[in-house]
Amino acid sequence: MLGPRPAWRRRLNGIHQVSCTQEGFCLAQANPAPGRLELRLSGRLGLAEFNDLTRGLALALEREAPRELVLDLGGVDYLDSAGALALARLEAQAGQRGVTVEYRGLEATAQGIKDLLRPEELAKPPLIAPQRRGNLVEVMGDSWLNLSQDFYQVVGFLGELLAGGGRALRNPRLVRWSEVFFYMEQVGVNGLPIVGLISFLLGLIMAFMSFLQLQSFGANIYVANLVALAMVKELGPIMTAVLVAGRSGSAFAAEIGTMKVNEEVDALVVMGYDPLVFLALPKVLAAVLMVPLLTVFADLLAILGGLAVGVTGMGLTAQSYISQTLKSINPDDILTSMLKSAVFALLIAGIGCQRGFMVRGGAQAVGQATTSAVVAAMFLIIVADSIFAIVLHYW
Amino acid sequence: MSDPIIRVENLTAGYGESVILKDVDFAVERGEILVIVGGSGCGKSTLLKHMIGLNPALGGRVLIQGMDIDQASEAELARIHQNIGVLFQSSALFGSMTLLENVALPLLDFTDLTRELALELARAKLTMVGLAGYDNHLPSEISGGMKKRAGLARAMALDPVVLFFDEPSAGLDPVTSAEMDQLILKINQGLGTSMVIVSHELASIFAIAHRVVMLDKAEQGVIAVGDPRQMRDHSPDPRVREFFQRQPRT
Ligand SMILES: Nc1ncnc2c1ncn2[C@@H]1O[C@H](COP(=O)(O)OP(=O)(O)OP(=O)(O)O)[C@@H](O)[C@H]1O
Ligand SMILES: [Mg+2]
Repeated sequence: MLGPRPAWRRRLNGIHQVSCTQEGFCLAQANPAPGRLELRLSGRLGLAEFNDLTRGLALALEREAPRELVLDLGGVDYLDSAGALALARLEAQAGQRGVTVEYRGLEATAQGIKDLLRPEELAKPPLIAPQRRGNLVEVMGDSWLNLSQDFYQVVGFLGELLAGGGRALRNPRLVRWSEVFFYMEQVGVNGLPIVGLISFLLGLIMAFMSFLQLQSFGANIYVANLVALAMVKELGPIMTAVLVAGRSGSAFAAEIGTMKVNEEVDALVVMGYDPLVFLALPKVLAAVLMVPLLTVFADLLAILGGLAVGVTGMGLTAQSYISQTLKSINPDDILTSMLKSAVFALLIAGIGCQRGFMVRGGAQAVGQATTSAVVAAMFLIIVADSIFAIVLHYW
Repeated sequence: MSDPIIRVENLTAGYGESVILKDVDFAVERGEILVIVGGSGCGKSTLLKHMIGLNPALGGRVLIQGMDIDQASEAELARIHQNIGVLFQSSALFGSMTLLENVALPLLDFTDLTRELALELARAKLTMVGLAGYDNHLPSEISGGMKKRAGLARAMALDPVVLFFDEPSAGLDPVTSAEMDQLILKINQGLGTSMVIVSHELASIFAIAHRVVMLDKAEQGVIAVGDPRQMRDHSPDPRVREFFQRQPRT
């Protein structure tokens, strides 16, 4: 890239030091008069030379401690903004020491580049301080404070959501039913394979493990009760809810969060829509309608898993296993199981949407909202389940 | 040295099956400011994406510094990408990083500058685009025009050989827009950076363009190449004159 080495090297008198980097620039030093330092630069002053250049210039200034500094750029054949910054730094350093700086051989274009970097602008401090991450104690305290704030927000949001649902009930045309069907497919139909598979395996494992225990009492047949009761009363709703939280709660948060970032939510508001009814309600409705059905499906497949073990491993007939299962659960259990799932669905979809609406900023905030939607949903599921356990016990 | 920095040879541009532009053929000379103009939706951004290697050519090829950008190996492509800077239509700043971090990112990763010097250089770039003091702001905390300028600062971080701009002055006030033109000219003259600019701003086109390539949606290709003033006053094509004289379609 470099042209032939400049001719000044031969011309100069009184130079007592020339240093050149491997490829790039040369820095020559001369002291024509006491207290007067001349620095002649040649070659490339660019990004690749920035490190060496700043070091070389600062060193020369420090060692010679002149009163006047002359910078001769006559031999420079390439100057970019990095080079210009190196010169600006030198000027600033010289200014601090009360050294006057004079340029020589500065072409118009180089002057133009130098002008882009106004010294007073360069010295401007940041308008806001960098964000500080607190220490461990602060962070923990903060997160507790946030938690309580969060709680208010979630409760407020769920309240608004129910109010919106109430309005939609009186005026069903408010709800965008095509969206509801779309999300019913997303949450319900597309969730069937994974929910089914996991429940089936769960039933299989439960039956096998309990068989190993019950076998010694000759109580094989009660495996059917155990699987059916555990699934219908507790594990079915919980497992399904956890899977839906991971699959759909996160998706809702990401979708609304991204819309928030792109100002699409603001666009809805100024177009006269209620974002809650427009965006959140279809998702929540779809979840509340589909998750109970998913739960029943999960129960069935778990029982099927238990049946598989019963028939192949425990010497039971399919008939006896099924009739034992039917004896152990009553329709009320299935209804409460579905009711529970509906509440879980409301919480999962609600929190997913709420986290989406909370997004401020950019892509990272969307990621955080997604994570937080899943974590909060799991937490709420467990809390709600505990409440159900107590209430149903004293019913 | 005097061969063009970019050659677009019989390029067919588009997305998958859908062809947007056909038989586009032009070159960008070293040190030139080439402006791409045309009505909305005629494929300017699309052409730009082909020129920087984001979209593979559907036909023909794009050569940057003599290298076919679709045939280049990973390493060659990386080198090409370090020699070009791109300002996207929507700025494309990283939302989780402050402006300073956005600009410093390539400096920290692709040069052997010390962290301190890299940050100082990044700050200098922000100063050049008139954003001194906004080091610690997040992209979501600044205005649209400021995002444009921050995007420009990031594109210029490595002092690239070619700069691509997708509508650098859209969303800027007239004064800032004029300053942007000044900045572009200074960078071009001072650093000899070649530039490919998509722009609608007539004033800005007349101020900065060495040459203009005009695309047309119906024609699906280039309908005129040349000096903007010549095109405005003497083009035989009414579509070209209408564009430069800012008249409604006849
Ligand atoms: N990702 C995409 N996939 C398919 N087609 C696209 C895609 N992006 C753009 N197009 C189509 O390509 C055509 C040209 O779009 P392009 O964005 O290049 O226009 P433009 O000239 O930059 O317009 P503007 O001045 O409005 O930015 C349009 O018809 C558009 O529909
Ligand atoms: Mg465009």
